[in-house]
Amino acid sequence: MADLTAGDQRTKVERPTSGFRLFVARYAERKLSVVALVVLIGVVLVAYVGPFFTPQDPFDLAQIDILDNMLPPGSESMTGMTYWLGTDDQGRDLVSAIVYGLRISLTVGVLSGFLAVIIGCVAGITAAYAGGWGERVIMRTVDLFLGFPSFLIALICLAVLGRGVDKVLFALVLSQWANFARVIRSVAVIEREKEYMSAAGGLMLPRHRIIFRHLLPNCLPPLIVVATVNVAFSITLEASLSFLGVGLPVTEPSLGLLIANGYEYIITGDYWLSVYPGIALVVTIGSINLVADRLRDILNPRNDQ
Amino acid sequence: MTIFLIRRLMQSFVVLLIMSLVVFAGVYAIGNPVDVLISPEATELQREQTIQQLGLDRPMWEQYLIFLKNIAEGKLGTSFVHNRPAITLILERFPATFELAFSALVIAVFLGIPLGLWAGLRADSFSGRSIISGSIILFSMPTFWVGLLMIIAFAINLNWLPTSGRGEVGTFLGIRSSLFTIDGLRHLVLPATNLALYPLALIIRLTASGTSETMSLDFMRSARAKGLHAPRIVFVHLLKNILIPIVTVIGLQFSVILAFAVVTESIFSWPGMGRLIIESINLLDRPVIVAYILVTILIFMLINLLVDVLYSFLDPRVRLEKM
Amino acid sequence: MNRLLGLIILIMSSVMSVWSFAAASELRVATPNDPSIDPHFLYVSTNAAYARHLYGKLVDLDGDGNVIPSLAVEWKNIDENNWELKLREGVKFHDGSDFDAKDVIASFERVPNVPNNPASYVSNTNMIETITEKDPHTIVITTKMPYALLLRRISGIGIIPSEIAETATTEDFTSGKAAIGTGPYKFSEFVPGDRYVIERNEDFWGEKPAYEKVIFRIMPESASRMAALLGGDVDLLEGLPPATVETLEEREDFYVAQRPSSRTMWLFIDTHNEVSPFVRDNDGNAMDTNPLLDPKVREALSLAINRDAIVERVMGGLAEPANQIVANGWFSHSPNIPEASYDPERAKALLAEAGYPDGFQLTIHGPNDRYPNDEKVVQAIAQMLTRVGIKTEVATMPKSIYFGRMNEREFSLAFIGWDNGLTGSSLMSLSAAFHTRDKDAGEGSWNAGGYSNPEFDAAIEKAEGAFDMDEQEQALIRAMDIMIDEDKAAVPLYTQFVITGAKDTVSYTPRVDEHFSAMAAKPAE
Repeated sequence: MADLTAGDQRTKVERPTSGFRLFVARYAERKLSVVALVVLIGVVLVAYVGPFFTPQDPFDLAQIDILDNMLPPGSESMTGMTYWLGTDDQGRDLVSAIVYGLRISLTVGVLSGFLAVIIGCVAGITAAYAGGWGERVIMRTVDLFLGFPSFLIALICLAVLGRGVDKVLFALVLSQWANFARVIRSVAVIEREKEYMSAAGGLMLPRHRIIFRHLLPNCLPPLIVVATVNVAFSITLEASLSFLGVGLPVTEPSLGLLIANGYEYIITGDYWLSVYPGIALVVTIGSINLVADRLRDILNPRNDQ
Repeated sequence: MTIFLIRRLMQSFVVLLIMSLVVFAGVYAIGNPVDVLISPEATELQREQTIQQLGLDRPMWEQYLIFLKNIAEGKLGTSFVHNRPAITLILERFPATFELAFSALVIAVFLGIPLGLWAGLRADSFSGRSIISGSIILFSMPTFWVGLLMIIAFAINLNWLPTSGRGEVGTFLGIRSSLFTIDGLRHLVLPATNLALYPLALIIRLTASGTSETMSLDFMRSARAKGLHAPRIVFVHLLKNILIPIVTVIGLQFSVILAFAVVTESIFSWPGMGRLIIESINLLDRPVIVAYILVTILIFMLINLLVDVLYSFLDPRVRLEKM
Repeated sequence: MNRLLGLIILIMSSVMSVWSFAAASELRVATPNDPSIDPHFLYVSTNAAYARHLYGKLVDLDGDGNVIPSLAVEWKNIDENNWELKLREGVKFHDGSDFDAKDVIASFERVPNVPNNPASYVSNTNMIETITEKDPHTIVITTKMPYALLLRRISGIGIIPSEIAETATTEDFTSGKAAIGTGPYKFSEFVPGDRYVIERNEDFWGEKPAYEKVIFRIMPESASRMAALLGGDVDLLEGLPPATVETLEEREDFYVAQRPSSRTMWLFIDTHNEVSPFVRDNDGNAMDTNPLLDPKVREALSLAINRDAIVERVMGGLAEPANQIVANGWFSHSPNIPEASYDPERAKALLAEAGYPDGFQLTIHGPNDRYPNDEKVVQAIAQMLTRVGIKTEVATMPKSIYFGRMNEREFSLAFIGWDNGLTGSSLMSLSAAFHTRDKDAGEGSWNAGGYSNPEFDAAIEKAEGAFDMDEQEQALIRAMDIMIDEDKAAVPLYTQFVITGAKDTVSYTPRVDEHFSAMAAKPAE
């Protein structure tokens, strides 16, 4: 994901000059972005509140019935329930499966982003303050990771580890932490210079205070942008990996896996297995990307006029 | 320049060595290919003979030393499955992947830069915003899903193009490629377009943001104040300014395209390296996996090096010795 | 978004129109498998199938699994250990050289000596002591012990010219240089991972195949193969996903060629470990006993499974429920075993009787890239077990990892399918998968459940040593009765069908052993 943000990371990073209200006002300037935000909030609600209301727990094998499999949208189950979006090849209600799948996809995306941010912060700040030899080692490692497409790193990682939520998380974190490390370090280096200047002026601040009071707040705007885009990319990555057979286990399908499972049916006319989860995925990633895009416009100081 | 190149090459060598160790350890820690490949009715004795023959009973470090020695001799092991040198298998498939990735990049650049320029220059118009929003939607569509939709629409329903595979290979100036035959091009259109979507979106965005930034810079304003005509402004001043980041990103994107080719090759049955690696992972064909990873690392390092050199030509302010 | 919806509407409402561009004498086949051109390298059934096109064997198996003459025209037993085979005269290799006894001997000698061969054909030749040439067209095969199934075993060995057998490497075959046999087709071109092209051998001694040229397009993704068939890029599709059968049959221009195959699917049960690795109590903690050691629990597993539902809903009707691990109608099928019934209430009762009224937790394992719908079948079984109180999780993995772990007895319940085609009986599956594991005797090499019963072992050994086929059959039936009916050591599931998708311009008859054969295809009338 270095790629999408690469153009912006080279720019100098500064704190937004505006307060929260101004921020909201600026965000609202573009209608599409507002729509995207509303959709995104809707998606998050569906993912995390929806599971309490779905007709079925698609992960509980006792609740799904193979005798109800491959039913087209609007069919009734043997117990009289309606499958509004049809069922998949195991007899899972697709509405429930999409809601639960959305939750997994979002969780994997957000959690891996969060872990990558933390690791990236630690690495970036350590590099900036350690200096010399330590900095070189860390930044060489970062460069090494950035030299390879994250997709490849994740693929190799999962090829070695096998399937599983934890392994996908690990692979995603491993393939993305370096982005954050680079962003953080670039800010931290600037802060370090400032610190030297203030130290020369006789103002000695404890280091943790500098980190928490000055450094992290300054990192926040670029971090938010990079992290949002990363969440979207993680979800895409996870879907692609599941498609290749190295992602999540089959009994707890994420959106990517639902699409992959329906992949062979789309060609024979049983479109619903793959198309509806696909739409859910595109809407989710699209809204995140649109929101990220607006955030970038606002948080990028050069666009302040 | 020479010093820079030598230093970079040496760094690359160290990285290769480290990666070979990591990769070897990782790959050889999983499973036992004998169990996969051996026929179910083979006796225990035959199993053991096979293990011995393949050297899988030696300690890990010994297997690695054998492996290193072989690398030094240019041998990256023999495929368990194909019984042919792993490096031959990979190099054999490299042209197919390269031509696919190259075509995708060409499509992305020749569509992406004009669209991005347009969107950047007309940032507030409907068309400009549509291009930007469209590029975001492109980002949001999983490659494999779009690929399948493309096959269904263009190959099955409309029957315009073949569904999959690589077409006839022609020779031009001593280069063998399916780019030189009509049949080859027909086979190439869908997979190359599929692979191009992601970098296309990226290049549109970069060009657009670069353009709108440059247009607001002082010298552009003064150029316009001096009465220079719009096309001239765009093509001389603007391109000169936005080319550097775009070239860098195109270089990096080529690596990304190569990696994502794994997905596209799987959908379109394109006989490239990406499909080879997926098959090899499934069959635990460890020599091929390790060789693929090392070759890929080598390719990516070369690409990064080329980008750096190109960068220095485009921007004389960057001195290679300092990089 | 509009464009996307447009595409979807296109998919739903479209009427497919497909034209055939191929000449009538050309057959294009979509296959998931890369071939090994070397007939003695990597013994997996797909390679054995490819080899039949280029290479003649001494005897062959026909599409129904019967032994038929090929390069050997007749044979007789001099005694129980010696077989005399008369070779076909006037046969020429693709390079024009003559076929005789030396080529047979050299080919058999090459089998165990192919370097770096992870899966050797040697299991088909290791019962042979010597092969001697009586005259250029007569050989005598001497076995180490009486071996009734010798002809079936040697039907797997391709014959190549002696000078090639003595020198050629696998690489020489792959490049086509050494790909010389006496088969109905000749090597033309091989691009690994892409295509394999063969041309008709106009000098073939037997019935010439209908197509002059066969192009195998190698496509591991089933959806890609399906797309290629629907898009008119290929004429035949090997390895059709059962779910797509119905759609294909509804189309005017296509049909599905199918027949029951010789592969029967079953579940290995861990009857070996005191504590089974993937059995847990209802709180998810490890148990100090292995409930699967109790035959009542094993019977409950079998009763909980609705085989008809698997056949109908997962396999699209293209399978037959099985009550033992060799299909009905085959040699050594036991008539004594009742039909496998589906009775969840009885299953629950048996669990209660065994001391598990609330069931327990279990993980079922299976491959996800080996058999048609393997992953889906395993999930369906998990559903059914969960319904009788055995809360079952599913873990599937690529065959590359799966079979190794399975054979190390790392699973509690494991899904497998066994092709009984080569011996045409239960002999190979019973001796390899259920005889007590014994390295030196070469028994039980795939006994992944750890089943061990001396009475069963004795029956198997009797069958192996029997030269009289009736005697062998009775011993095998006895062994099956002990293992399935008395000990319930495995859960038989179903016998799958071999399914080939085809354009209606091609008439194709699948082989029972699931081997694809271009010789079985001809233009439709």
